[in-house]
Amino acid sequence: MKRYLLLPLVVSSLFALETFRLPNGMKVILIDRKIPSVFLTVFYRAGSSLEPEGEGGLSYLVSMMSFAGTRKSSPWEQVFFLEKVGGGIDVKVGKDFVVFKSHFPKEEFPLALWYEHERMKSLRISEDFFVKQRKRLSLQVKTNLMDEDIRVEGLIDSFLYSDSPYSRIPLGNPEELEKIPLEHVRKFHRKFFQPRTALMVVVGDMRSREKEIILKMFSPAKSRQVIFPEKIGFQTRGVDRKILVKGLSQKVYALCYRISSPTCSRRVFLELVSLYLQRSLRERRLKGRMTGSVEVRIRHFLYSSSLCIIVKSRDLAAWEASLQRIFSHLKASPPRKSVLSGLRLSLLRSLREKEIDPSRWGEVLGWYKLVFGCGQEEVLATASSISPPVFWENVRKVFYPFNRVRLVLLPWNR
Amino acid sequence: MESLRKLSLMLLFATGLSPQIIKFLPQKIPLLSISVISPCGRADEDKPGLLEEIFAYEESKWKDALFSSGARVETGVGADFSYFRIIVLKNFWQTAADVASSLVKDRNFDSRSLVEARALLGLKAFRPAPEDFGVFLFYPLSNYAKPFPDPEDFNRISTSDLRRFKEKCFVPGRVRVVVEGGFIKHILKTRLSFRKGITPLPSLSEPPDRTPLKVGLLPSRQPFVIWFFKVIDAEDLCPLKYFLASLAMEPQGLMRSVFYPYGTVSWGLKKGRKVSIGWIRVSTTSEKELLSMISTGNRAIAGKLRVRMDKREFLRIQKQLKGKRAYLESLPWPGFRRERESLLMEERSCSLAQINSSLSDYPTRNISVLVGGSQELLQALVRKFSSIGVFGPRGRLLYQVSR
Repeated sequence: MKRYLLLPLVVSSLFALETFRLPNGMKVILIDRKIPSVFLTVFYRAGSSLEPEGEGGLSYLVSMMSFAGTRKSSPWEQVFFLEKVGGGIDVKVGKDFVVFKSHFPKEEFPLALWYEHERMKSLRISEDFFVKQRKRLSLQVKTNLMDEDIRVEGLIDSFLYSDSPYSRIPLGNPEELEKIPLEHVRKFHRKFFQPRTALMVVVGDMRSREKEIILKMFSPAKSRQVIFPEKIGFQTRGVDRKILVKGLSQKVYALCYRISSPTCSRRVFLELVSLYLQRSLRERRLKGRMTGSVEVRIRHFLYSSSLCIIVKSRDLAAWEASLQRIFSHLKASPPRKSVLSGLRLSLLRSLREKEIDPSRWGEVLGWYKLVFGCGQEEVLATASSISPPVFWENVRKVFYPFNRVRLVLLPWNR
Repeated sequence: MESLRKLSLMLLFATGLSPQIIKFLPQKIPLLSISVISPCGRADEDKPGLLEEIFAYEESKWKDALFSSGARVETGVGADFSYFRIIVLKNFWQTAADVASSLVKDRNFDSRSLVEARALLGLKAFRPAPEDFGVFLFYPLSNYAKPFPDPEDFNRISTSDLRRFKEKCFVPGRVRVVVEGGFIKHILKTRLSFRKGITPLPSLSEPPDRTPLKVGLLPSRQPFVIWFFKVIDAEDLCPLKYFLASLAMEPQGLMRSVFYPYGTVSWGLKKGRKVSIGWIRVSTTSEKELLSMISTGNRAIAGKLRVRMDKREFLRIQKQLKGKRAYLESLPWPGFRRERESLLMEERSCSLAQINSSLSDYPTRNISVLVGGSQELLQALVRKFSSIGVFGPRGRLLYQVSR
């Protein structure tokens, strides 16, 4: 394959990775870095797309219940322990995955890992804890849903992925959340928060002792068979709507394109297009003197990727015309070699920047393995093999009216 | 030794080279970062938005070179310091060096790039985080409490304003340049040598002595309360850190015991060159608890200030702070962080006795509170407190009530 490169891209990873799978199905990636802290990231295949109908927010609720305590530890003990040693923990709930990110000094590795293991093995949720946390979470969701950006995002997703589980937002629905019974939470946790659905990435001073601890602690944990959907299809054709939204402060224009079951190279292509659009929009904005803000948002889910251009402005017409010009230019001729080279270098720089940051690398690496379906080396190799004609060919396939969702959100202040 | 240092400085001036600090910190990574750190911040600006415009101008001027090398630019503007940083793959060291040199050497502003820079800045939303409001409360209506700029502010700035400010704040004798990552030192050294005649360096802004606002109000979607603690002397930094950690810490931490399960507690220290401010924040899900939270928090703080810290608690916090330090040491670009820190108030370690003596005479006038919530809640609060300021989202003091 001919490589269109102005400069050679070094595609090997900067740090040695050790990947292995435990007998119970749990995947582990160890990255050895001589640093005083350990960064532990655990992915569970348990996001909002797996929630049953009418229980929006179940995965969010279950991830909060993970701190309810276990047979051998009390509620919030893990959080307090990590705080006490100068570490911390953060939970992110997505459409396909729930991610627990923690960091702690390397001396605390065995105990910090034990808490993680206990949570997976013997979570005990008391009725009292459940009721209090459910109430708190429902209030939190209500407050968050008052945020304009979150509401707009939810609305876009509901049209982009209508009639599919991806239309639900991970935050959930406060009314549905309040009705979820404890038994469903326990069942969801048993089913999806177990070794078979987990990927653990550990970045830190990893010697043989640390590996032994992981093997010894997690190997005996039992796992259960789970069947996940093989694909999520999107049958709806392109959408073109004008909608009145209550309480919106300004007009919003969203132009989105989605891809079903994307391959690794398609996802990389979208990343490059997103960078290209950001540059073109910046140029246009400066020439056209357009007001308002614009955001190019790219999302990768397990069964789909999407690219959205979201404009918030009083004058949407100028933006619309400008976007049309950018897309017609993109479809009419392939980008110059030098432009593509700049995009590739930007992608390489951002990847390398994340790679040298141990606090981000675990999450990014897991994301590549689980969602992209390819490692960072393949991402870079794919980026370097996308030539201007290939780029152009993809443009015509992806930016097709069938995949397009065009929404104009107007404030309705009656 | 001191006279020797003076002599070397005199020699430097005599040869037309101004004293400068360029630090080369090699690392085995494929990236390179060049940071230009200046001791000028918002407080030193004659007109609001000067620093943002200078940084945006550099980005616009070099936009093609930055794009074709895949570079990223990061900027930061504090109350009394600022930085401009470029991160690039190490093969593109030339681009990074050119941009950094231009920021320190070039005094000219071409109109095309300036127009582009303004257009870009006009679209950006500059909003301080609630934790940054400490200076607005302690130094109301002073240089230290300048609100964040808006698009009109950028249009009011002239080229001569920019040139004058650059001569004051971005001259070789004043800025620090930190080169970090994978690079070849001798190539970069020739590229980054700044030659400049003697420039009289005007002294930078000092924090004024003003009556602080006891309570500040800020409209916010998520209700919160933040207590700010002013630190003037570097000696008090470490004791305050222990105090805040002890307030937040479980199981003895009063804050957590009182506010659980409604809120989450976080704390931090915002350091500056002349003033540092510690903060402890309680975020809640419901406004109903907010008023009782303020009074409970006030009582908890007063109680903690009265009681001496015991050895067990001291050791426990010491362990926590050690862990936090380990976390920071694990992050990339340690040289940039260290150099930026060295410009700010110096923090030394402290003993239990020092903590107790420093906290026992900590003046309560150095404590202020910022409350965030809905407009209705804030209106109710205005009637409740005697010295109160209501802020806009950019940090502008909208009105002040003193009874």
